[in-house]
Formats: sequence, C-alpha cells, structure tokens
Amino acid sequence: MNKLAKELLKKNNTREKVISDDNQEIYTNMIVYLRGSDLTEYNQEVVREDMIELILDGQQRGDNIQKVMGGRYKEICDEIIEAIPKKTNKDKVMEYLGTSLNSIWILGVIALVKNLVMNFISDDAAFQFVLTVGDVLTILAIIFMANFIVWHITKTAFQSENNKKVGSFLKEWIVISVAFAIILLGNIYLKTIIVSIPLWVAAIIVMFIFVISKVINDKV
Amino acid sequence: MIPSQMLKGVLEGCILEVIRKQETYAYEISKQLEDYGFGMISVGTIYPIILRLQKSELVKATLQDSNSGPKRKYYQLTEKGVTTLNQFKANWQELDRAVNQLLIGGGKNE
Repeated sequence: MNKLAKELLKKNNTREKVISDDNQEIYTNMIVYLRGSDLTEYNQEVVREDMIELILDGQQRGDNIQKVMGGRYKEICDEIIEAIPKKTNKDKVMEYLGTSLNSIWILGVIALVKNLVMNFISDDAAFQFVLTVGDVLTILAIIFMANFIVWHITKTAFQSENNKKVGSFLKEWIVISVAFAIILLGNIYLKTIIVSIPLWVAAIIVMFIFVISKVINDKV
Repeated sequence: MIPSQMLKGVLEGCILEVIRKQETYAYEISKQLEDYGFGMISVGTIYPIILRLQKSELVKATLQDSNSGPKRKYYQLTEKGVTTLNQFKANWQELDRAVNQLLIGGGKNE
C-alpha cells in the first residue's frame, strides 16, 4: 500500500468509529464488498472516505444508512465500482507479487522457527534449513486457502446466514477439506528433500524477501 | 413516482443542472430533485452518478466546512460539464417535442 493510501486508511479508521452501531453492519458489508473489487487500494479508501462522510452526514440529520443509501446496497457498490478507474495490468501484477512475497516471508519465518526447533530437539544439531516436497505443498495450500477465504468473504458480504444455500456450504467445506488434506498428507508422506541449506543462509534469504516485499508493497 | 428505468437516462443531465444552479453537495442534490418532483432519490443513488461525472471531468469536487459536523464535498461544473449540459438540454427538448407530438398532438401524419 502506498503512502497516500496508508494516510487515508488511517484517517478513515478513525472517522468510521463515529458511525453508529445501527449503521455499522451494512456499512461494513459495503466496504467488504468493495475490498473484493478491482479498485486500487487508494481508490477503495477514497470511496470509503466519501461513504463515511455521507453516512455521518445522514446521522446528523437523523437518517439511518437505509435511508441514506436507499436500500440497494449491492447495486450501489456495483455502480460505484463501475464508475471508478480500475487497476491497470501493472497494478495487478505488482499487487499479486507484493501479496505473494508477503505470504512467502511470513511462512519463511515459520519454517525457520520450525527448523530451528527441530535442530535443537534432534541429536544431530547441524542447524540446517530443510524444505521437503510436503513443506512446499503446505505453503501453496495455505496461500490458496487464505486467498479463497478472503475471496469468499468479499463475494458473500451481502448474503445473510439464512440466505446461504446448502450447495454453497458444501463447496466451502470441500475446498477447505482438500486444502487441509494436502497439508496433512503432504507433511506425512512427501518427505523428499528439495532444499537443504544452512539455517543462517535461509534467514538471510527470508530477510531479503521481506525487504523486497516491503519495497513492492509501498509502491502498490 | 417516476420509474427508475425511465429516470436512469436523464438523471445525469438533471444533476448537472442542479450543480450548475449552485455549487452543492450530495444530500442537497437529492433534496432539490425531490423538490422538483422527481420523488425520493437517495444519496446512495446520486453518489455513483457523481463519481461518473467526475471521471468524465464534467464536475469537480472541493472539500468545504459544513455548519453542522463533518466537512462536505461540494461539486461544481467544469467547462466540459457546461458544454455537456447544454447538449443534454438540446437533446431533451428534441425528445420532449417528439414524445409530446406522439402522445398529445398526434403523429406528423395526422
């Protein structure tokens, strides 16, 4: 997220606290839906700023969010998304790269800690960083699952619990179960080593990925 | 009440005219349209239209203090907005004449 977007995000986080509890749920659903759109993070914050002010202006007059927005929340969000310039292909690539590198350095830190603990526990304290096929599959499954959960939350923002169909629940559980199965089975059976390097080298690589992800995410 | 499908095509032009009369903000636009007999048009309906008008550089926004509470975005017409509004008015007169001729005055062959 670039500096301008960060500043606006901070301002919006403070301003939205004034939104009344009655208006909060619908406002949150609208923002969650907009988060799943093709708008840049900066444009999402610009829209959020406008929406907060429209809702607060309504609160001052004694109007609730239903009256301010006219009740067609999803349609209004779709019209807003349609009216604002979308992410360019360059924006999309940079954002994807930034998110992926973010996931990799976080999972890298976890793998480092895991390897460090394993080295301490085992008799052979060679302080090696070992990555198996199972570990790689686990990392990919976690990234996929995280993306799926976020995508699912944004796409179902306007669905009440009662409106969710049985098929939709089944689909969610199948996807989550498959991801968990990959994580579990991968760790148990796929022990083929693909990377074996000294722990300190792995730590430097993770730090390097962290720095690159920071640089890229500051530009998005 | 005017059906929303019927309003869709003319609302942009009408909002431009409201803004031309006076620099104004979203809720005031909704109130004025209601006063002119458009019925209740929510701020949520007007906001995406204003975003479209901004994207097309027909209106520009400035943040101004309000008497009560938070700062408001006030909208004013750009030069391009004035030209588009004049075009809308000409188109509307043409449409108005044609529809009236059909509904009230009879067709050109009568």
